[in-house]
Parts: sequence; structure tokens; C-alpha cells
Amino acid sequence: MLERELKYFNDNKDEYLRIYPNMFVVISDDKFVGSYTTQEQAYEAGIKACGLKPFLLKQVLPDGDNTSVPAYSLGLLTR
Amino acid sequence: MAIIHGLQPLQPGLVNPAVMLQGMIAHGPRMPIEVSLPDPLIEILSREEKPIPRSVSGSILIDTGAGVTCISDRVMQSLGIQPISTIRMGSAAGSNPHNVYPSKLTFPLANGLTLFWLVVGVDLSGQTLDGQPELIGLIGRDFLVNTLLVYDGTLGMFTLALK
Repeated sequence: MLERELKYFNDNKDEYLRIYPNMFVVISDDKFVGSYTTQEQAYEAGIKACGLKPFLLKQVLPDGDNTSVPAYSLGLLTR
Repeated sequence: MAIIHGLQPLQPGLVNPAVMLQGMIAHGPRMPIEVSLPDPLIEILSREEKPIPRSVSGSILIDTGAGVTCISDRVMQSLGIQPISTIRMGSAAGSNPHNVYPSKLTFPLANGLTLFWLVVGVDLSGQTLDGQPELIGLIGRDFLVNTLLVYDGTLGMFTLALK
């Protein structure tokens, strides 16, 4: 799911980092819907543009594709 | 500003210092949470006369080690919310993609404060402790960046002030 949109985002990421750093972008198929200041604004715009059709909402960050949740990843949440 | 005063165990009315201390050691800074569909999604489902899944309640753990806020995949799937992105999460065995979902989080201890938030789906099955509300999520630093968190280990309490 969202492979096409993710490819489009990654293909254009350098340009987005230059023009929309830290902003939230919405992509549907291989179409750029817009850039937004908050994740909520971006989601509202995505729903308005795409309805129930899947769309990609991603923050434009240099290293925005990785995170860590050590307690979860290491199975440490239950004593 | 909304302020949440938390103590363990979560049962209201039970304020026993020894129990609070042991509860905080055993269970950590948890609070009740309700996860539901974001308002724009509810509006469009209503307009198209489609069923709207009921919100899911449980408890959420404040995890200052977590980079992002996570909610159980089971909860997000029961709500029927489509992912809007993916993110890779590192582990000892490498990194794996996880779905990112839009959600509405409601905090009953903050007078029902609701926030739109992007959450990462994780498998929290088997993370429930006896006698505790089901753990359905983790509050991460993407959320905590907007808060003031005071953890008072000496009293077994915490305070979370949200901007």
C-alpha cells in the first residue's frame, strides 16, 4: 500500500527538503496535493482531495524515515 | 493548558502512598486514553452513510525513550483506519517498516482533551498486566515536545501539562 506515493516522495525528496523543510506534504498516486504547516492541516487537505482513497502524508525531514522505540523493540514493556 | 495528574494504580479514589509507589515502579506513568477516528474521516464516512467504528479505550504509557507515539495495530485495524505512511523502526535485529495512522486521541484525565495525532502501529499483544487496563499505546517524544512532564518518584505520581 502507498508504494507508488512513497516512490514519488523519495524521487522528489531532495526538492521537498529544499522547498518545504519540516512541512507535511500530501501525495496521491503520483500527484503532489500540497504542503502544510501541521499534520492536522495536511490530513484535512488529503481527505478533502482524495476522500476515502489512500494517500500519503509525510513530514519532510532529512532523516524522517527512521525512528526508535527501544522498550518496545526489545520487549521490555512487561515486567 | 491542560494538566494531567497521574498516579498508579489507575483506579480513582485509591490514594495509598505505599500502593502508589509500588504501582509506579511496577507499571510506570500510565494514563487512560481513548483512540478514535479523526473528525475529517468521521465527516466523510457520515456523508457516505458508512458505519463509524466505536472508539477504543485503554491505557497509554509515557515512554521518554520512544521517538514517536505508538498505538496497537489491533486497535487501529479495529477502527478501520487506513495507514497514511510508513516509518522504519530499529531493533536489535535490524529495522522494519511500521504503518503510520491518523488518529484522534482523547485524554479523560484532561477533561476529555482531544488531539489529532499521527501514530505508529505496533504489536502490543502480551503487554497487559493483571489487574491493569489494557496497554494500547506509548506516548513518545514527538508528543512530549509539546508538554511539561514532572515525574515524582518519591510520591509515585506524575504531572503532564499540555500546551
